[in-house]
Amino acid sequence: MEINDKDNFELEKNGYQVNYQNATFLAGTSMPDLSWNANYAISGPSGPNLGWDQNLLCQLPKLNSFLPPSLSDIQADSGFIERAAKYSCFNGGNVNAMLGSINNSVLDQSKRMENFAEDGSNRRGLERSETGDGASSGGCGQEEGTSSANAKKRKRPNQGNEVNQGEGARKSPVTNCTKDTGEREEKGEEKKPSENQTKNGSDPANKEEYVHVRARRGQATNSHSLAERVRREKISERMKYLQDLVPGCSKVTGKAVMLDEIINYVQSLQRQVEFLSMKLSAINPRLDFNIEGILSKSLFNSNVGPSSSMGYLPDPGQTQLHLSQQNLLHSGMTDIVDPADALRRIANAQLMSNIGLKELSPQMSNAWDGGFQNFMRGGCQDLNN
Amino acid sequence: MQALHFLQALARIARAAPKPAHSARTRQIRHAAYASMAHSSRSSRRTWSRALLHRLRQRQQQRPGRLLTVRRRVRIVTPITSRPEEPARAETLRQLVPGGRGMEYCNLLEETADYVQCLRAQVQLMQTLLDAFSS
Repeated sequence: MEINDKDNFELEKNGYQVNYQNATFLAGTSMPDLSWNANYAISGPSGPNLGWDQNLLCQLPKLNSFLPPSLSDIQADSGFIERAAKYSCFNGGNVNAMLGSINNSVLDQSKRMENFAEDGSNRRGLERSETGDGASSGGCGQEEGTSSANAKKRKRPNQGNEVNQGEGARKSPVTNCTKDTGEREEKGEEKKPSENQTKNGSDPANKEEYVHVRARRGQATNSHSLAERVRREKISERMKYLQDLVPGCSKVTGKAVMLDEIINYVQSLQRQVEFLSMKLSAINPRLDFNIEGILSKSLFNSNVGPSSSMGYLPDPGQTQLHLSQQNLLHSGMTDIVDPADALRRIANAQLMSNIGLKELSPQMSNAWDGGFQNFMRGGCQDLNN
Repeated sequence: MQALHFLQALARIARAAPKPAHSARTRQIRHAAYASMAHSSRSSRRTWSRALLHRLRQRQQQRPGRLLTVRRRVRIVTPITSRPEEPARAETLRQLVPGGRGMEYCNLLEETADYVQCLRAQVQLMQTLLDAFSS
């Protein structure tokens, strides 16, 4: 139990939340043969994407690992290997990186050479399957695969024991699927002393791997909530933007109240559109057709250009049109950003040109902003000139 | 762009035989308002503008009294029952914003923002017109 106690202690040292039940269980079951722990390579640096896949991979081999341990399991393992390899192919991009990192960080040079010497892909598949059997994650599996392959090569007779221990150790992961990472860590911890015994894995390398396990564990739980977090951030960002849009919402906090405010505002705007359209229809018979034509024409001209629209609409007042165009040009309103503003200016210019300056100027000064008044006077002076 | 379209539509309505029915012209003006909103350069790429135009075209087709055209539900991504994480009022918002039913919540918020901007511009435009023509 000493070693397992040491494992737990190291776990605590590293700051992991130890699943005490599982730890003790594992400790109890995996006591007899620590060489099996050697098969579990320390989970190496894995990409952030591996959380779910690894969980998936973890569970698959565990489920299948309940076959009776025997040497004939090697054949079962091979089918297993293919499956694990297939699933580990999902992490294809990371696999090679992981393998590379595994090779660099964990294993001895000699083992690495052995790995490379043999049929690389098959070995890796085997390794993956091997580690997939025992490891809690496919990512782990690859690293463990290499180490387990090495262990396999060197310790063939131990395989039965390893499988036995694999089963014993797997039971707890299967029972608690959500604590895969914790189990991974525990296994990693357990592996550590064995690896130190069996291999010459450097301690800092092992510790780095534990750190990576930790990161992966955090990400594993967040990979489900990672997308949710991103989504929540998007939603809050848009809510803030809406808060700026809707007037009087700066004090209001909270999504529910904000949403109510937004709904009220949209409803009020729609009601305003209806109301204004009613009013417009009421005054429609009084519309001066000239004004409409000139307004639209001038707008069209200012938007498109003087050449295109000449023949487009009937041209009641050519001179007025030119004057209005000059007005527009003087004011520098080539680009209409705010339609209401543009319309106001144009309406002012046109109306004043059509109806007469003196009638409208007091009314205009009442109706329009002060800034516009100066502009209008300036524009009207141009007109008068 | 929005103002131009609206003014042209108004001119068209005014030029057309002025129907005595006040409600008919109101409807036409409202139709023109929404159409010009949907045609504005800023919103022509938006989902709500397409949905709005579709809705307007449907209503126009129904006007002459023809048989109801078959309405094709383009797609419904989210089920009608809203997701549990959305607030309860999200369904109301979906009904308000045109084309809001097929969207996810975060897209719905974006569309709402754009729709609110266009609505506000349209309201200001109509207000300005009213002021201009009533004074």
